[in-house]
Amino acid sequence: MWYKILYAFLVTVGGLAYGLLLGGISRKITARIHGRRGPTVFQNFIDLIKLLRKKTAISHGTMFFLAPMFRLLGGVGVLLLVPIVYGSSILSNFSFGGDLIVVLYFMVFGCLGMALGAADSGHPHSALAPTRGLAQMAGYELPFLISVIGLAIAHKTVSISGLVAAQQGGIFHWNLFQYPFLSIAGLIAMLGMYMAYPFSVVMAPQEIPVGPPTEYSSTFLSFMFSGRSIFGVGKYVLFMDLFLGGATNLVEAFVKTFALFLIIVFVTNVFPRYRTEQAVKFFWTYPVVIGLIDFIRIFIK
Amino acid sequence: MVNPVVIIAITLIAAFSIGIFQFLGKKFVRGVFWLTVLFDFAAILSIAYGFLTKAIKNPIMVKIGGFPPPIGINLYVDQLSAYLGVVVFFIGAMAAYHWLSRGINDPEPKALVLLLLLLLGSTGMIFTQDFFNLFVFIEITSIASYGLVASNLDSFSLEASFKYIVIGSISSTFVLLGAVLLYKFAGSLNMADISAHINSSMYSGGMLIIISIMFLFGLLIELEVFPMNGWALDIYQGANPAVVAILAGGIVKGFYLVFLRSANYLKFPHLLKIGIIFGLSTYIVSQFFAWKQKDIRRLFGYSSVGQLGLLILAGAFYLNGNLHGFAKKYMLFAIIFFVLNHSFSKSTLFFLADLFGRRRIEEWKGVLSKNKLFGFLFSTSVLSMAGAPPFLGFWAKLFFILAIPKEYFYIVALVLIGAIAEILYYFNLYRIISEKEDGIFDYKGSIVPSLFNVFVLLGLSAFGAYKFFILTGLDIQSGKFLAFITISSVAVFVLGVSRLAQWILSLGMIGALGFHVIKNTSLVPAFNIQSFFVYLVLAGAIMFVFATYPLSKKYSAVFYPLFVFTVFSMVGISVSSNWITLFIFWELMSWSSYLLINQGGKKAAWIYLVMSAIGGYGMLAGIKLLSTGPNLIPSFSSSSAFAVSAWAGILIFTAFLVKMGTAPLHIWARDAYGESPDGFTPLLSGVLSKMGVFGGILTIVYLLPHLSHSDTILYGLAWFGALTALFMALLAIFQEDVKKVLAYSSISQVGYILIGLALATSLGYSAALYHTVNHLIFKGLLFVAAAGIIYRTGTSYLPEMGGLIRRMPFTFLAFLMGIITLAGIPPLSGFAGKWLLYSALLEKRWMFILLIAMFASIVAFMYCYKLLHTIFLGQLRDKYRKTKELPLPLVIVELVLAGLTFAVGIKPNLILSFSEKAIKSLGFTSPGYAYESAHRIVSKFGYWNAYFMGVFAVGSFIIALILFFFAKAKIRKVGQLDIGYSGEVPDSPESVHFGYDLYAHMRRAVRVFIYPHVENTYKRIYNSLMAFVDYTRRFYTGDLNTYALWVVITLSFIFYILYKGVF
Repeated sequence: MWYKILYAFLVTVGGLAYGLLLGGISRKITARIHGRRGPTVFQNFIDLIKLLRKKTAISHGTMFFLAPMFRLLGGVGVLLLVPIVYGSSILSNFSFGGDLIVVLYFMVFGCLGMALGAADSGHPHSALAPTRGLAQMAGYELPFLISVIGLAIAHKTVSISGLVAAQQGGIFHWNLFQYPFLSIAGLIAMLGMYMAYPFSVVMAPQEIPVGPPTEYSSTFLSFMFSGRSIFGVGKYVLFMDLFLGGATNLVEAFVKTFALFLIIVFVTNVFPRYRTEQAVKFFWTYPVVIGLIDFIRIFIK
Repeated sequence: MVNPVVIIAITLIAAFSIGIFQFLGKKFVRGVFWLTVLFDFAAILSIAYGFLTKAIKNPIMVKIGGFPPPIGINLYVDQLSAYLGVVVFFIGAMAAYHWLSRGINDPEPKALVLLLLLLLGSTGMIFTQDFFNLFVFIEITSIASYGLVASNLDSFSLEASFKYIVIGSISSTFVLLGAVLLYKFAGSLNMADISAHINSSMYSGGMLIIISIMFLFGLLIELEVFPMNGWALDIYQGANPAVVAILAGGIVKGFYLVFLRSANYLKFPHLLKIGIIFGLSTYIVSQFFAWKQKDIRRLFGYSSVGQLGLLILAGAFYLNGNLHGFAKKYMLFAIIFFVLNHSFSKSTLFFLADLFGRRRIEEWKGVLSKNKLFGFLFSTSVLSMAGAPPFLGFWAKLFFILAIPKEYFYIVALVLIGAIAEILYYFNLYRIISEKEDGIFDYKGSIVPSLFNVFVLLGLSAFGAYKFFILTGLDIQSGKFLAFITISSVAVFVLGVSRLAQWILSLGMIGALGFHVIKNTSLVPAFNIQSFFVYLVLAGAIMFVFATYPLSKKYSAVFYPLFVFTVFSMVGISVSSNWITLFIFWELMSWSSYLLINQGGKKAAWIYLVMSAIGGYGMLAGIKLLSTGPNLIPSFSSSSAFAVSAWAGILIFTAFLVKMGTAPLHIWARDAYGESPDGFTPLLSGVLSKMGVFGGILTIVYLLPHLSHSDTILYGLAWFGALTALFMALLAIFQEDVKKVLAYSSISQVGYILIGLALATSLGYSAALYHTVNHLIFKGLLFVAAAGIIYRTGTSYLPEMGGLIRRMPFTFLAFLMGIITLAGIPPLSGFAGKWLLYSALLEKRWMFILLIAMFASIVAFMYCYKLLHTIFLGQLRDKYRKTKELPLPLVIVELVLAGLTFAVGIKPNLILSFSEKAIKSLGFTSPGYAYESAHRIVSKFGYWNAYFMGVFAVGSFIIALILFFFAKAKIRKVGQLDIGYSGEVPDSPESVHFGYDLYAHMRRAVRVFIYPHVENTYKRIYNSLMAFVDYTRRFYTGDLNTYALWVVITLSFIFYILYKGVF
């Protein structure tokens, strides 16, 4: 058990580093598209260290204080509950703790924490952001659920390892090719989940500074920041397991998650922003219709 | 025993002596009057008592003047006429007392003479066995009533009297004509003699049918049947209520007995059809026409007419309906109870209407709260009239429904629809009366007669219940339990001198029953589905009643008695062993909870009641479809012995769906939850709605397998559950009242339970039962917290709150845990229910239902966050800076429940071990999942380790906290308004608190889904019905000519259908 915890710690640290790196790469790509030089790809590491070295942290109340812990916990939880490498007892982490349904609900844990902390700050913009986030969540979860349920019924399991196992045996066994419509719906939902650009109203930098963490600074912000990075990696791994056939070694995992990351970065940089209700309506129409094609195919089978 | 003829003679002499010796003064007149009435009453009572104790075995025959019948006139007093005589004289005495206490307009002696003549006439009518003599007595009665009706000497009563004279004369003419022709036909006037000479073959094509119809038609006019009853309504509206009380409470019943007896003696073969046509139409039409009444007396008048219609129907079935054995007995008791119920309650209502004096219903606003005794009498009478258990009207209706043969199911359906209409208008009236309004209330006259009436009514109700349980052979346990419920709630009322005493008593009683259930295994032999719900009810109730004390100061004295009543009737539901007992306790629960909700929102309570009535009577109709066999009571298991139509299942399920708040039967829920007393709402949501779940399980397990289309029904139910879960969650997002958010959330959550039930697999039941308990825990917690917050802040309006975390840290902690559970986020207990349900749905491949259910839970996050944010987070207002933490009992309950969610979240077996036993008692071999070591649960599709998740979450949280303290920064607390707000310093909390319409953007996306389509449809139906009724009730033009015309038309109609050979 103890070695598991040790590995879990390593995975968390690795996940954090990977997440921060991805963030840096994203900033770099964005800058290049804008025609700027942009920061170094390690900028996020620098930011994190800077935040951790601040001398005071401002607190607005108990929930405000606890929220970053919730956020970090939520991120780490998701990363650790999803098996990274198929067949590896170490890198499947704590996936014995629960199946896909557990992960789906545990994902909310961190978001809830962050939303509550933001609300406790007393800043109206911080409270506004979670309401947008939750509304948008109701948007993207519908196509996402369609693809998840479709896959679960098709493969007769909701265990993530089970789903990965069902996709082994060549690239055409991936759900992306077995159930292309479900995968497209799921990947569009992913854009919403990452608040990638057409769906970025939650953070809306020009309008409500940075959304929920408006009031956060210093150590608090560093926790939120790390939590978010780890959460991001966890979700990449999840989507990789769901649609891209999982990974049998770490290199494959890096490649596949990086591919997913690139999808998001490229989409983000070419779109303007939807308003909340537009985003919700979008999610409830196009990806749903696309997803339902496979969904109904599985339903009648 | 007194010779019946003495009664008539004495009354006659007294009447004349009052007329002659009235110069001796008021005291003499009153003395003679009272002596006579008391003597008569005592005399008839002695006869009735003789019959009751079986001291008198055979009917009494009195030959007048020594001539034996058929030559001489004779009186014939049997059991029924003696009982009816008692009722007539009792009501007569009460009415006279009432009238005298208010003062008689007319010269008093004249009025008293007429009263005596009226009583005399009706007694004679009941007792005589001679057709001509009957006519004479009818004339005496009628003429006395003409005078009495006019006695107010105002335009209303004079007009009514004139109409009565004309129509009454027409009626008497027919009776006389009938009697004369009968004499020519049979050569005799003695009823028994004629009966001996008649056989039914004489009815084919002879004079006899015309004669009988003439005779009975005359009586039918007096019985106020539709469409010949406009005059009667004018009397009810116009005459002195004291007179109306006698007429409606006594005299008309005399006519009724005479009608039935004549038809019986005449061996009239078409009585059943006449009864169905006229009885049913009268009943239905008057129940609907009453909706639009603004005059309280006319409203009671419609109700009286309706009851008469029901009586005619019942009588026709009794005499001519081919009933045998139990059915015949039930029908007899139905008739007796209908008569008694109507006599005592309706006369009380008329007395009270007279005492208060106001006619228009709006003027009655607030009466209930202004005078407690008046309110009690009024409530009791109305409840009994509308057929609320455990009052007499309920037993009458139940006997009636049980007795009607199954092939006349349409009559059952129509009568129940009429009963719903009756509840609708009676309790619309009750709603107005029970509204709060200040001002003084006084009435003129004595309340004693009403008091007497109601006491008799209560006694009769107890008798009715006793008779019902004895006759139907239902398990006596249930009967005893009913008595126990009533006695204990009355005890709470009587012994509870203060709210504290009531609180302690209620706690003690619920606790004692709980102790008894645990100790005494005879009530629940082995742990099964029933004991599961008994424990659920008692555990929930004891917690919620514990929490009510701080809130109870503003509640009325009936709050705790009704609370105990509701709780115990739910226990009754859980232990009932057949459908009828289930129905009885179900109705007890519905009505008592209605009265509790009525302590808060009146209109909400009314809608709740009407929906409950639709459900409850739907259930009764369904039970009726099930019942066959000799004693007509379908037990749970015996329903498997025969094939029944799918409608039985659907109808029975309606009741449960209403209580579960399943769309589209949910329209009561928002307001009933939102406006009921805060101390009661936790019970309503946590426990009462679960009774629907219990009933649902019974129906699905015992009944549905034997119905056709059962798979379709189950799939349909699952869809209803899923759509309810989704749409109610959507609606919850946009509510701005804390209790209304929780209300929608409640019915949305119960939607999940319904899906679990509809799956009808063991895993589905596991999910449903687990969620049942879990919902009790977290929704109880949330409602208790909401009650406390409303108590402390004085508002339930969410935008008014905010920042309360600083004032109520414990409540916040509990509330947060409740919300996490509600949202179904691991590691608290909410997730297990979701996981079980989804696994069950995956197993069954109900993909679309699964999609909707999961999606609904995502939607639910929105209102979860809204509640936490708008109540506890954001900016604290200045006015709440001194607000305290909730009162201790509430905090205790909250924290206990919060602890439970945590404990169950880590070890789901705390609930699952119970639900597993309950499921096995239903005949399943496994609960549908495997519970492995270390709390790992495995289904066919997935797995989940509750204990690990709990340890993992708590552990990582602690690690995160430790890491935080290793960081360098010092934490500095800043003020509430110190926020980075565009370089500006906000000056008031209100200006920066975001609390109103949190999801305006979402509203724009889902506008079409949250438009109140269902509610508007109900409103549209109600309004169109109202408009229709308002238009059709003009049928009663108030014009004597049309009234007379309708008499002619009706007679022609009877002869026409006779000619056409419909009979």
